[in-house]
Amino acid sequence: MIEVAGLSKMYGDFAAVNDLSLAVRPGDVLGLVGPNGAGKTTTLRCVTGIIPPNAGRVRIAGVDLSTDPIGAKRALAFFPDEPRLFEYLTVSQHLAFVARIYGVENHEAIARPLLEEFEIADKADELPSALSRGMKQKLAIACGLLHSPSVLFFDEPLTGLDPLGIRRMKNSIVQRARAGAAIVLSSHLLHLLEEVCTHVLILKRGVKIADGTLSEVAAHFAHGEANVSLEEVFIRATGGTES
Amino acid sequence: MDGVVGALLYLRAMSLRNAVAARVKRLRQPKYLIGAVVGAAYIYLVVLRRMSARGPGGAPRFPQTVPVEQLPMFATFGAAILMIFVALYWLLPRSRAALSFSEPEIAFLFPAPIRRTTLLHYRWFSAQLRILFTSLLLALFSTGWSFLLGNAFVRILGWWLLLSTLDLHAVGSSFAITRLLDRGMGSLRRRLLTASIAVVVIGAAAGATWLSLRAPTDDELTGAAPLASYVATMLSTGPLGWLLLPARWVVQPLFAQSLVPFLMALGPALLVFVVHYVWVLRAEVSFEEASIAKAEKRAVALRALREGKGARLTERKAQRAPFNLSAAGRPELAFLWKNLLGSAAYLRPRVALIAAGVIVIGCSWITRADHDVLRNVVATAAMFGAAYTLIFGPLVARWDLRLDLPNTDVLKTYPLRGWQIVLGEVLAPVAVVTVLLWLMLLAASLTFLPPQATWWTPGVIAPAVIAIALIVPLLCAVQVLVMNAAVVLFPAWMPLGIQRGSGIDVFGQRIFFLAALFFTTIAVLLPAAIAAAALFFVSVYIVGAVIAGGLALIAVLAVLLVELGLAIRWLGERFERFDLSAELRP
Repeated sequence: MIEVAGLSKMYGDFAAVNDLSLAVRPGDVLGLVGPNGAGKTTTLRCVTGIIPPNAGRVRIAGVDLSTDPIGAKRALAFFPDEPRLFEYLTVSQHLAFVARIYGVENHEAIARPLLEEFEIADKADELPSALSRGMKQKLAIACGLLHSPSVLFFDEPLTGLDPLGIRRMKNSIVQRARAGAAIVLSSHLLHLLEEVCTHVLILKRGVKIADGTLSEVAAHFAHGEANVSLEEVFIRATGGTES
Repeated sequence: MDGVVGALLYLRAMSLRNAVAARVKRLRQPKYLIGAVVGAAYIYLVVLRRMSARGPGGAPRFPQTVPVEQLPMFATFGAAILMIFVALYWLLPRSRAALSFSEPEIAFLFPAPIRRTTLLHYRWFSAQLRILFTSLLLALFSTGWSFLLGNAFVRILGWWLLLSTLDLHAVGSSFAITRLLDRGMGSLRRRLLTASIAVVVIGAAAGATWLSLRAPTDDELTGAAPLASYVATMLSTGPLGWLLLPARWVVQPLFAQSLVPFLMALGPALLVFVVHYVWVLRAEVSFEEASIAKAEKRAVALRALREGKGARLTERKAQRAPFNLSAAGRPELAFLWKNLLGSAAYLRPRVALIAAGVIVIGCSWITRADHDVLRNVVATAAMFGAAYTLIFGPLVARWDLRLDLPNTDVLKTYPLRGWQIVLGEVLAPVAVVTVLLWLMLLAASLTFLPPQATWWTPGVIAPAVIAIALIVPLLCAVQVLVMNAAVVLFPAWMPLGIQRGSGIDVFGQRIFFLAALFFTTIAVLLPAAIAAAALFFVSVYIVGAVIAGGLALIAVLAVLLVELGLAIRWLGERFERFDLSAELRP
């Protein structure tokens, strides 16, 4: 569902991502972790077609992102860490706009349960300025889910959410994975990854340090110890230093 | 030195040093370096050379624009203007005293063990940079007032003293108003009280002055200069003169004709300054809460400005959709729909139709009633308005990528080609400016009085108007596209992120940009004009002027459409490769 091979992204002489390969199958949730500046967000921006990579191939739902970006983008949704909303569109107008962009017929029938799921149905006529940070995040996610994407990319999805919102978001991610979506989730919240992810990929300075199922990665860094937490794995994998 | 004061001075000095260092550092990028060179050259050639009041050979570059004997009169008017400003500080609606602190300053300084007076000093010291810069600008603009032996530094000092005193008065008056509010006096009551005091004091002073003065002679009423002299005499005589005295002291250094009078004028001006300083320092008024609210408001406005949304201080309201947007259809229209929602609520098709109806009815009435003067006024105003809108409309109507640049990442995840996004984004400003131009064109065409020429018939006017109406949207599109191209090619020139649109380099870039806009527009129009002229002159002898004109119009439209199509496609490809975060790296 998501296939990345040899992805590299350079900013001048600086390699933000270097020869990264990964694969996420339907139903899998891949946790992308790494210290600050490891290249997680750059990776997400490359694989969602926001910025072109310098090298490598990306296939989304079987469609090559470089040769058919429109086809690939129809299948994906990207949720940045900071919800980017149009400050002059109300909640319902956001959904109407996105529905037209993706050609979602009868979008109101899809939008209503989404708004209810995220508990912002009563804010349909409000502008983003009237919403809390968490509600904005929920609106951005509702917009992204409107066209029923089969591939989802989340960048720090829990930022700004209250405890109930966090629980609902985690459930939502798991449910969508169970429904067959391939999900990549970048976060510093390792307990979230432990709860939600089936796989984990650790990045450092743009280079993949480890990837696999949680148990595989844990075993790789456990050095024979039992019940090593993801936090401990992360610290061992990254050497306990930033980037 | 007090440790706190040292820390605050360190904060201010380091902020300034780092801001300058950041500006210097970004000169490593060629576009900023070119901008800096252009900006510096402009400032030197247009402004700084004027600073030197003497030209080659020691001759005055600028003759003294005001005779020395008229300086007191100008000082009196200056004092009166200053008094009006002072009165406005008390009369204009204001909430509680709020000093200008940034959000980080509030976060670090307000909870810190810092005395209130130290905060006031810090705020005053911070304001000095702005005041000094303004003084420098005003000194440049007042170069023509070559009193003060043409000495720029003395002029800067004069302006600084005036602005600093005014700044202290603003703070002091806000403290006094806060005290009144604390005592339960509402904004309206306070304004009424202030206005009443002003009316009584000024009225009494003016009345007493009037009684002590002679009435103006007929000669004094014959021209502006004698009348001004008479008014100045009245303002500086009797009680009104006393009333204006503090303000006169403040402005007097600016109107000294040589160094000695300047130094003599400096004493009273400094006295007023010191009195204000003590007034502000001794006022026991809480400013912290209102300052926090002000800082938050400023931060929101600044963020909006940095994101190219304009410094919106009022809360935006949800608007009705300009038209129904169905889920099926061209996605580009969704951008038109969205961006129209970002524009003013009155820029809607329904309002345009009503305006068109009003124009038709009003202009028909003017034409039928034979109001030739009014008709000429309306026609001229409409034509000037159209020319102004054509030039400045696309600059002002920013509901396109200029507004949406911060949302680039979201736009790029949409399943659309770059050209579709670019086309969709430019539709709203083009539509709005075009409709405005059409309305003005309608008014002009209905009221235009044709010259007495045999060929200037309705049969000529009507096709000409239609031709212009058809070309106008394409002309707007050309300009809007050039500006959107600038956004995609040089996003760091736009007010975004930490590298705000300020500094000599950005100033130079703007000059450069305006020149580029002008020449690009000419370059785009030239092929269309050549094609139209060629077709017209080839065909006019065969098919006659009317059909040849029609063919020329088709040629213009065709060439412009092809050029626009190519430009949109090219810009779309650039947009697909565009990475805002990389562009904004220092």
